[in-house]
Amino acid sequence: MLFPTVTFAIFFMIVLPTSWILLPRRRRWKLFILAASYFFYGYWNWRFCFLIAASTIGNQLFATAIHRADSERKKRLLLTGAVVANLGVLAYFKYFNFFVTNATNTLDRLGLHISPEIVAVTLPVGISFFTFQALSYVIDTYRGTFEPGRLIDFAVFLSFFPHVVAGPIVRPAEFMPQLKERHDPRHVDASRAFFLIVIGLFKKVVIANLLATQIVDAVFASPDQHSSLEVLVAIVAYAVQIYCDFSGYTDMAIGIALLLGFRFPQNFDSPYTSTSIQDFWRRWHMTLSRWLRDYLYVPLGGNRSGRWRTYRNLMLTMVIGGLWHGAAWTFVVWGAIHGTVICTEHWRRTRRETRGLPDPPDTRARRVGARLITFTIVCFAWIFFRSESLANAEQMLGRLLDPGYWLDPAPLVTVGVLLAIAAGILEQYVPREIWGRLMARFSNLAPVAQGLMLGTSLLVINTMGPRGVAPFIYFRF
Amino acid sequence: MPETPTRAQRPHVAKNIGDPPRRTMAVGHVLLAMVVALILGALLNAPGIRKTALGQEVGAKRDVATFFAEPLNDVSTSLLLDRPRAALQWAIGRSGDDDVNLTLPSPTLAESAGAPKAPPPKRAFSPQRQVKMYITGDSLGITPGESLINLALPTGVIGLLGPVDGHVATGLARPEVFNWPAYLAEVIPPLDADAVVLTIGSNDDQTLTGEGGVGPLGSPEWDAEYRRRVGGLMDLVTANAQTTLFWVGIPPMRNTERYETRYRHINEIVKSEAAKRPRKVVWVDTGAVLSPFGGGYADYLENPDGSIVQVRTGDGIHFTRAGGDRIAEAILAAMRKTFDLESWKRAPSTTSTSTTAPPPTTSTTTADAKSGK
Repeated sequence: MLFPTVTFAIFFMIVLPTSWILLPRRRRWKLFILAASYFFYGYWNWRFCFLIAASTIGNQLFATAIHRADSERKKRLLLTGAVVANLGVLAYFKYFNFFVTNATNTLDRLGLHISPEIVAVTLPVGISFFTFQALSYVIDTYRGTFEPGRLIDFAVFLSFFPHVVAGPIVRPAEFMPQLKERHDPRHVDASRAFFLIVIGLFKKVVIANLLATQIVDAVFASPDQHSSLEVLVAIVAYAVQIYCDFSGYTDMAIGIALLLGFRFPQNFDSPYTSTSIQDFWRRWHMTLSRWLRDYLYVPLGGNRSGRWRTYRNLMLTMVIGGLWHGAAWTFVVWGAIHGTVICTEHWRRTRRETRGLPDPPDTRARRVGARLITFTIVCFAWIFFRSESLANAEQMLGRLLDPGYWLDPAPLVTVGVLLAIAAGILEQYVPREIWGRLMARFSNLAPVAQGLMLGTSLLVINTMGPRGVAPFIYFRF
Repeated sequence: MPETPTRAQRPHVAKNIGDPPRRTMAVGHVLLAMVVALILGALLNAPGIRKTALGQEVGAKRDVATFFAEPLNDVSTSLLLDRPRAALQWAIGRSGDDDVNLTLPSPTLAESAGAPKAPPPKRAFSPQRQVKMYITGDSLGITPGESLINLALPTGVIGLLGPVDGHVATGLARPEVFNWPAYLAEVIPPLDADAVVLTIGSNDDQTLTGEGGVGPLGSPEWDAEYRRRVGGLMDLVTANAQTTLFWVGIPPMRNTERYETRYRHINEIVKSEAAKRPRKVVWVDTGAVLSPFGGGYADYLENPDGSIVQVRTGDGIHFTRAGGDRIAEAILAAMRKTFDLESWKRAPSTTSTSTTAPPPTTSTTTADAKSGK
């Protein structure tokens, strides 16, 4: 089930009041919200409800066993089992074919021809998200920072419908205590929720869908048939498309959770205003960044074991972060580009510190330059992320850098496309206080007036967006 | 020590760090605002909702959706609440987005029955007089269409009339979702195309709605009506004497039963209609290029160099780039059989269209039709 559909609107109009009515009776509420979440998830393919149920039961058993284990060795053994099981399921659904085809083709090049029976495995929506959340649960239990809750609580945490398919990646310590809090039905932070939902809808339905259909898909499919200008604009358009698509989804998810009385962590913080790639990763898919930091980078040793190990850890974290998005070399290269630039930034900072040099002055011109450079690097990396193969990325770059095609006509670079790109980027430069003030003003309106404004927004979004609802990009991750 | 305020004394505000305080709402008011928003949004978008409702799969869900959408649209129209949407659509150049056209043309072919006549002579093309190609279709046509562009343009003898014109989840069964004949009647004449590559049919295994609508799939009435629609579209596309239609067939699906009972049947109808128009329509068989041993479904296939490659996406329906490439090769092969794309290499001075012998076998269509139907 997709958020921007009539089906979801009907679903939510039933779930919202029922949830608040049942909330005082915790056990009933949990059963209800669990059923609603499974319905939401199973609406796409009911068979995968068994997968999420199995993940819930398996991880609960592991977490409980770790919590009860009387020796460190036993705990570590159980943790290893949980990590292997979770990553094993993820590997089967996401990476099995990638490894088999690469292995087969490598052996073929070495003269060993084998023809394995391979079938394309259907990727369950959101598997990467709920697997990472389940791993957080088990690892936090192992670390002693979190005590496993009851099975029903963990089941609600893992399958809670606002975040189950595309995040944000919520930690158990952020969500599960909220199950015990008293939610006051007289004080719902509705104005923020409505704002997030409307802005998320606009970003997804209007900007992201328009850019995908008007320029991005066509140019990335056949770069050689387009002018260099179209290729350049398509790359920038993709940067805006993926931001609006993913942040639009999480805005809606956070807003929907807020209406139900739950808080989710922020997932985006104006990433294209970043002044470095490190800064970018503090602003882009923030819940994945901190997951990778806390459960991968730090356990690898972080920056505690010398300069070269730090670089190795950074590279590994970013490459694995790339692979998390999908089984393809393009994602590996995307992660490696980010890793290399982060290492370079780290090296430059360390060198400056060891030489005792002061930080460069924080001037406006410097900030603008740093933002431009960062955005250029991010866009360069997006080429690999979006391309179907490394050859496709090479075609894009070849066309972009070939001066012979710069004067060719560019019919796909339309006013609508340029306006959508501008809107997607400028939205991130709107000062936070302005959004805050707007929300505060909106919150002072009477409910009917708020409803009228929201209804009018629906007119604009529904009319301006292309017909049909394209799936969210991050659903396949 | 300051006294902690009681719940009743606390201000009813929510606040993020740095934000001015916001007034919170009671759940009842939240619901009221949402109901007002949804009612107003529904009335303002009623024509679009009606079109979406009509586009649902035929059955109870569609019946319920249209039961609400039709009166909603009537109310919206009578209150003039459909006007802002129409104005906005006009302003962004999308007037007519909500129109529903159920008219479907019948075949105009006079010589529809009987054995195919002698195949036509091949039209010769050159880099100076390229094949003007237009690619369109449903979602199954998009990836192969893109591959075809990449494959055909380097020949130097095939030119494009625009990017792939894909319309996802459409077909001939449901004109209220997307009326292909009406659309192509508008789009094709000004293009003056030599080759139209069309991929539709995979969404047509359902009850036929619109003018002449019947169900269920597989009944003689359904066959007759679908045949009428296919023939009508073929004649419409090839109304211009110089246009050849390359109708791309539906390949085997992972759901073998669905393919065998439905898509094979649709393929047969299209193939036989194409066979009635040997001068104008070429049916492209996609089954052979995507099947491991000339039949059946496969997710992965072996390349000539021995490496394996995924040709179908996880849904068992659509194509990966490699699968699209294989279909594009089949389409290009059909074009080579239909057009003379080579003689200009031997006589580079050729600048205009001409015809050359020998006549082609008109791809798989004629042969299959002769043997099968």
